[in-house]
Amino acid sequence: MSLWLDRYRPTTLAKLDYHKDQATRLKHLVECGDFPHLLVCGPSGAGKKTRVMCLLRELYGPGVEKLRIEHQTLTTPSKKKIEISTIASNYHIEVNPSEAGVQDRVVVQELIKTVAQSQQLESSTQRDFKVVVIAEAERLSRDAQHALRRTMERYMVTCRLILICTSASRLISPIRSRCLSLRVPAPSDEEVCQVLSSVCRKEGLSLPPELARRIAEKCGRNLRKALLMCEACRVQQYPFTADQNIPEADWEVYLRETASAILSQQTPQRLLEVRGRLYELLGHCIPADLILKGLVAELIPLCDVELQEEVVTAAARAEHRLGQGSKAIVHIEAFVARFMATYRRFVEDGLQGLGF
Amino acid sequence: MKTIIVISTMLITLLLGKKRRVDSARKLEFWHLDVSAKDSDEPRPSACVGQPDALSSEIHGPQAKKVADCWERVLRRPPMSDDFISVTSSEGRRVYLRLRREGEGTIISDRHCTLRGSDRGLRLLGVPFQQLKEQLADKQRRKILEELEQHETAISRIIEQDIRDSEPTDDVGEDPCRDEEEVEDGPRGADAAAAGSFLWVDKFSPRHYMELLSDDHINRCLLKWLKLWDVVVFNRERRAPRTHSAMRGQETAGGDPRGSRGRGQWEAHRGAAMNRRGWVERGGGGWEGSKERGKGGWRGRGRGGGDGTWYKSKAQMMDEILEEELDDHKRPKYKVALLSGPPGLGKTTLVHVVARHAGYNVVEINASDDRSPEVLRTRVEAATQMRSVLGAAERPNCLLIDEIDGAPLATINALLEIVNRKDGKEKPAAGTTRKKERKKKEGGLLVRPIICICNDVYVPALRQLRQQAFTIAVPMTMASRLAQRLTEITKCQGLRADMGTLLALCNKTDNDIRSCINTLQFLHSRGEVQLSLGLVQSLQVGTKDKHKGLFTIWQEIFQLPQTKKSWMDKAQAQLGESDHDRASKSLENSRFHRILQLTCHSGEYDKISEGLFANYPNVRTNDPQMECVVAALDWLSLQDEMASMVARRQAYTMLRYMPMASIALHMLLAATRAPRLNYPAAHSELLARTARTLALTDAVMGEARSTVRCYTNGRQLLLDSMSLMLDILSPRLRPVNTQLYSTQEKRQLQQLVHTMVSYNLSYQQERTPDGNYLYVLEPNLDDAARFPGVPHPPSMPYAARQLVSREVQLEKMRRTEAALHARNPQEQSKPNLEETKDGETLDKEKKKKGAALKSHERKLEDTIQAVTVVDKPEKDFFGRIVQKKEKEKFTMAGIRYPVLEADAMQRRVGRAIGHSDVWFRFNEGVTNAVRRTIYIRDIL
Repeated sequence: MSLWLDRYRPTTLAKLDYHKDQATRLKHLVECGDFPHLLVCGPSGAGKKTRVMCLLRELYGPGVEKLRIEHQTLTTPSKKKIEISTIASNYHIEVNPSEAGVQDRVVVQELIKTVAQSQQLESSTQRDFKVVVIAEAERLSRDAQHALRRTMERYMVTCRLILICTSASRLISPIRSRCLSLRVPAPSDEEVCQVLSSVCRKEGLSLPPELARRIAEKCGRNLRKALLMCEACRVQQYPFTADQNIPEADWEVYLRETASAILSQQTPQRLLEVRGRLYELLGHCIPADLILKGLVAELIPLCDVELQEEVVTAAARAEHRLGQGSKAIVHIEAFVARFMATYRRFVEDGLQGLGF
Repeated sequence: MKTIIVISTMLITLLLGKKRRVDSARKLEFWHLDVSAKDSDEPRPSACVGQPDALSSEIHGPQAKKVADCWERVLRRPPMSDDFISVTSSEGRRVYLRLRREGEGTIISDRHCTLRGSDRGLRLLGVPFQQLKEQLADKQRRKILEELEQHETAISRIIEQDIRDSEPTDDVGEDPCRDEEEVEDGPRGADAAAAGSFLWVDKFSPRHYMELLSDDHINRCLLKWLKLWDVVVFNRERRAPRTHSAMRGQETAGGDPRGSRGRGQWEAHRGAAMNRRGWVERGGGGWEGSKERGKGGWRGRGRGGGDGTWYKSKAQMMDEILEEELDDHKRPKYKVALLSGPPGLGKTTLVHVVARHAGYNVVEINASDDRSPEVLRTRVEAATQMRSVLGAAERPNCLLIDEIDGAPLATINALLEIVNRKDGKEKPAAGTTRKKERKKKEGGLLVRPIICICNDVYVPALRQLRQQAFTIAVPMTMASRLAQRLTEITKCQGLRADMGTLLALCNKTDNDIRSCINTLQFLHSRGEVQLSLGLVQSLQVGTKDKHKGLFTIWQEIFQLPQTKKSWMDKAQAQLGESDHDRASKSLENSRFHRILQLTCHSGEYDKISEGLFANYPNVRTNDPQMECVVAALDWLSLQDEMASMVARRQAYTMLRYMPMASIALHMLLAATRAPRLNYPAAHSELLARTARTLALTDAVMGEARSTVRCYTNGRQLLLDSMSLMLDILSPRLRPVNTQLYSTQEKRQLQQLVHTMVSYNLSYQQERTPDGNYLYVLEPNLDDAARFPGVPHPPSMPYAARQLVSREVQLEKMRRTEAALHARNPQEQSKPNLEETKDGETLDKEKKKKGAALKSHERKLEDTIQAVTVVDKPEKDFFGRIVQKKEKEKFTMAGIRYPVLEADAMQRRVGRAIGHSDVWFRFNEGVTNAVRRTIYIRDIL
């Protein structure tokens, strides 16, 4: 069914393609019987969620795979209703508190309480705790994180938490110290190649190793992207050729074009054009920090070594302000303008040095 | 006056020795001469100059040279080059005084300045000589004017008399308006000093149409609109030419003072023939106008003509509204007039004057009154349906609702309801009998004009009213006109001020009439007699807490201060002789403070910075290095940071730094010409766009399969998947029948369909505006994932999309059915049972329900049952059962019983029922006839 991504997703710890020693350790952990709170962190597309689902299956058996979507309505103390949808099986419940925005504290408190207060039904055959999976934990507000601290300890008997996040640094240290930290690194290029070729083999396609390597390079060690790219390649052209065009996400292409526009000309008019493009990107819900990161990544290699430090400093300041402020466009444009000024000065100095 | 002359005579005498007679001169520097006299001569009269000796000795030494310099100026014979004045003594001796040129002798003036500062007693004359002269001239002029006025009134009386004689039937001697004028005009000029207790604003408020300071066209529009009510209110016929000529008459009366008199008279004659009340007022107005315009109205008119092109279109629009036909009730189309404009333009006064002019009694409701809907309703009804009984003039009421922009929405809705109230039963009697109509009107219909006044017409509460009202935006009062009026007031009150000073005052208060007059009164009460430019400039009162529009603020930030500003600076510099602090204030400093004040007054830092951000790239600056842009953006991002601090952490101390960014931008970017400003819509557009994209991802995620949702979230979908998914979802399918596909292709199609279903995507047919049909992905991921200018592989052709769309729908149906079966497996088995089982067992089951079933719910078995049941008791004519015989017959024939049984049934019922899958039954009125239970899986 569905995309390759979904179709060939491993469902048990044993079937996982990479980080196998971690998988076996998890298996041992489960076999021990007791089970701490988990903090799973790792970059996007590294297979965190897959790993967690495998773990849950290891814990509870195939019953975990019977998922249902539930829509819950929670009421805040200020009588505001929050709609939130959860994905649950009989043994676990998954929630993404960032759906509730600033009210995520209520979600964390209410949901975990309701889950934790009900006992497991068949405690003889099953484990006597349920699992609450919190996705995108790094987007939990500070309030919610503090609310989580107490809840985690209080309901330890009936409930375990698995926090999934891309970066543990966004979580407050009390939470980090309460969890067993589990880092899922992004797959290496070889591992990506390996997964791609195995998937293609299952599909009955022959993937040239050269293409696999190119995809692995292009996807930035993001397996989700790699598989999607591979499938898009298949749609575009089969039989594969080693040098065929690999489709990319539109926004990345667009961002790259923006960077080259910045480099080609440094005038206020160009700045205005760039602003239009930045608005377009932001309007497509591309996070501002990703835009900034992408720009810097594109601009830095084309700069002289002298400039690089200055540019990175400017970018760092802009990123800080992005976090502090609320209007992303201003900060990104401030960075772009600073880069333009710096670059222009550098070029003009260079021309003078040449004796013009 | 006498004493002054005496003093000056003495001075001259001292100066020239024994001379007695003095020929006064044009421009004498009294102070100068005074000092020199003091220094040179011993026989100094102590009564005249109360000068302490210490001071004189102190200044004696250094001044000696200047005294000599002074003596140089008194010559025996006329000087060759310089200007001079001749002075002849009583003995006939003549000397020539050389005039000091401007710029010469600054040291002396300096000294004299310090002297003046140190001792006021040195000033011999309380009032400068020049002013005394002016006063004298003024007095004479006033006398002449008074005489003139007397003559004029006499003439006008005579003319009025003539008119009255020509119209002997109407006794209009007690015209209230005229009376008022006479009464009010009295104190205005004469006992000005006595009336210090009340405000000048009230005292000098215009009493007549022609005294209004506001724009002529606006006045006329309002008056015209009020006149439209004449038909209903005064029961007069509306005659277009009359109003036209009357208006024109007024206009020309205003414009041409010479011709006005005759024409006004003619006009008055015509008016008298038409109606009683109107003409006298108009006549009076005409007279007034001729006087007023002769003095001041001219300049305003000239300016109005200057930008005539722009003016006319608007004016024409207004006129068109006013020319429109009356409605069924003979009321004008717009029942309400809505005047808007900043405070101090004289809107309320305008309405009062115009309404009175048109013959109404003004009932005013303003913000100080209770304005709840109920109270308003009763008041409006009281005002519009009753007449004032008290007072000689039984005038109809005209309702004036002042400051309506502060009223609650409910009140405005109540007002609208009153305005739009209709007489339901009125229709047949539309124009038959007048009396009837009248009666009905009194029962609820609005028959009096309502005029509303507001400052801000764009208040949300006024939105409804704005659409239904005759909206008039009162423009700014012209400074020249206002200054003219102020001159009259100052003249009346004995204040002295020249035109420049008054213009400066107008400028300072932004042509706010009320503020100007109040300031004048304030100065008067403080004892000032002579108004100077410096005084007005240094004045702290009179400036309003001005709330400027966002565009003005942006403009001022992007624009360097204009010449007007430098003029102000000059004024300040003049003033600065006494106040060195202010004089030293640099231009930069004043710019800083101006922008700071501007921004602080507005308080909308967020909007201001948004506008600055949106518009700064359009500013033309000489900035090749982009340093200014970088600095400006730095400031803007700092401001955003601070704003977020305030919003998130309630760090309100940061608020005080908020205006700094706009100041910095002003300093960095301001140019001589501000760029074309645009309203910053980008941010709100961005928000809308973001919301749309998020809604799209939510739509995908919300309906996606749980297995999909479990592994991904909206952000990842947006960032990683969506764009690539679009590529994956558009494979190249051959546009042929699916039956002709190879297994590989079939597999691909199937995968595509599965993917689309699991992400809840489908193709929807849509019609483009030019009539073509398109299949569009629903939810439309293109919106969220595609960027302009990025090349894409060609999308699927129409036929392929159609094919996929069909397949997706089929797949969805399959899945829902499968889900249904999975939920209750019994239902799935039932139809199978029905098929396999023999009819009879089922019949028994159904029999129980059978009777209760509705016809459309009946199934095949019921019908068979029913048919057979009907057939069973078949009897012959006598009621005996015929069946047996036949049965016997069949048995006799030796065929097996069950077969026979079935055969017989077949014969009776026919072949169709129970044997064919498709059957027909006729129901009267309902055609749900052909039915068959078919499952999707049977078809697909």
